[in-house]
Amino acid sequence: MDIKTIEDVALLARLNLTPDEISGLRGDLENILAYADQLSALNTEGVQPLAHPGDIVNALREDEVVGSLDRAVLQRNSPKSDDGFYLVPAVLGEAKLTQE
Amino acid sequence: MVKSKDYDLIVGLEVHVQLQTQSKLFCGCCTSFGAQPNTQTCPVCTGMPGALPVLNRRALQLAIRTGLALNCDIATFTKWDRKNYFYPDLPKGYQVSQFDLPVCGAGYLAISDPSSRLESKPIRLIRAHLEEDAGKSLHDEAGGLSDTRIDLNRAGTPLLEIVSEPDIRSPLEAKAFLSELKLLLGYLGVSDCNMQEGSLRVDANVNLHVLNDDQLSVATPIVEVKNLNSFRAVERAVTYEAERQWKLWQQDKLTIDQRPKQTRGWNDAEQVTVPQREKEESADYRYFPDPDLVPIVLTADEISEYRADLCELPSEIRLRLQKDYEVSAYDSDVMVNQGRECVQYFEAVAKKTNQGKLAANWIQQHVLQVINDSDCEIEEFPVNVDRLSSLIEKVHAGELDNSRAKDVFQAMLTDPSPLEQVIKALGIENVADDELETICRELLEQNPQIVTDYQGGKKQAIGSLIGQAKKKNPNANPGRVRELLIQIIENT
Repeated sequence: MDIKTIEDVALLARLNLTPDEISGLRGDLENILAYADQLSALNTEGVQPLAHPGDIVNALREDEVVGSLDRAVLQRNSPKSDDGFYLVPAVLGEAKLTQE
Repeated sequence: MVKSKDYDLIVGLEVHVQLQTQSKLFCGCCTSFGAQPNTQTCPVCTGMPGALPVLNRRALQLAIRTGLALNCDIATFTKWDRKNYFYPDLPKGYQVSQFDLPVCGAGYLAISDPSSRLESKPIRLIRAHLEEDAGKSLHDEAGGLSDTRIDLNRAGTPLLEIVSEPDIRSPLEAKAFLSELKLLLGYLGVSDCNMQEGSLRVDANVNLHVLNDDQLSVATPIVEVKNLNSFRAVERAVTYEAERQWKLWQQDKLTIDQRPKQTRGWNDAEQVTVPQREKEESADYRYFPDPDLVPIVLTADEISEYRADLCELPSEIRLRLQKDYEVSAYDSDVMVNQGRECVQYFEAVAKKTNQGKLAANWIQQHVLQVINDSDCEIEEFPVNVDRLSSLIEKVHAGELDNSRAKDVFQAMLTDPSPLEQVIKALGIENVADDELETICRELLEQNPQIVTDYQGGKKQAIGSLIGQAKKKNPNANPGRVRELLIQIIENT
């Protein structure tokens, strides 16, 4: 696995890695990939792709409003909030990696 | 404007429609617009660990209904995928969407081709899939460095993303497509399509087909214009992009293979598209199946049931009105485009009076004019079905001429009394024939030239006398006056 790939993955995960960390992760990631790669040894010809490991389908709820959770309770999880809004560092002008 | 000699404009649209549900796509939080920030959220839509999303049945139903109306193949097996990206208004770090198995597959929407009116042109659709909306970021408008504020009330609201093939060839076609789609969604009761509240959002993919130096047709790089929030913005942004790309092509001669797709935003104030800064690496959403949500299986019978439940669609109503009430294609189009309520109003009046054509004329020339000027809904229009019908019956029976009928109609807008009383209050009454005859004789005596002209074959000469008769008595019925004038001239 080349350094560039690790840097790309780190960027997608918003991780700021030092060169030391990158070289350490290189071995770890290669091990992880090798582990997962064992699956490629199986012959999957004629096997349908699996969309979900469970047997259940069509789990639906009716379109009914149930009470939301109190804002004050939820905002305890946020480092910064004001006037009911969550506050985050300014994002205007910053390059957006992606957007729907 | 588009110069067809220079290039062909190629446009595909992605339309995000907010589905009209009470609760969110995967949780029971309310979807109503305008609540206090972050008061309509819960552990599911704020992405708390361990929270379990469950699909809203109604959202699925609305998606299927829309897909059928858009002639889409409905999937018998559909699933959920995570689209991963980081943004502060996306609390989970991924959006639940549908990647490879969308609920609605290929379909089409027929629009009336703006270049040859009322000629139908199908715009093919690639797919339509369900997904959840993100929250809302309120940036510091002054451009300072103060914090961005996040409201997650919208996070998790059900959206249907409808993706067209690049079949659209002009800004007007883009607008026609959106208008027809919005109309259809309204008839289906799927969405209120309120663009101010973000219930309908459009991205446009635009490029050109041009001739290269070897006179071969080549495609220019694709540009996606994001977040167009009015039909006018779509029309203008597409027009602007066509011209910008044509100029650019003449300079750089870059084709679609030589430059990746770019993203631009529409600046409504400046009426220009501006590049949206992006990092060098391409977006990598790392889609994978959402393990928290189970697939949906639909049988062919269930899909048939949905199809049978579908209401009459605008394209079908247009044809039926022409057939059942003998109105023109144009009349039918105007009324259907006004919405379901207008069609119901028309049909009730046409049935009551048995005068389809006359009813269509009155609705278009008078009723819709008042409604569109005053922003009033047809259900609360002061001249209701019964009142307009009685007025039309009087006109048809010849008891009211058109100009007097217009006066009566105007009075009815503010006077709720029965028709006869409104007519009386305006001082409108039938003028006895002998009185009319006296007026006619006087006029003919005063205008011997007109009599000579008429006798000489200029039959239209008596038209000016009808106007004069109405000045002498505003209640004079023009048709009767004409008859009497002719009678008198021909009997002398």
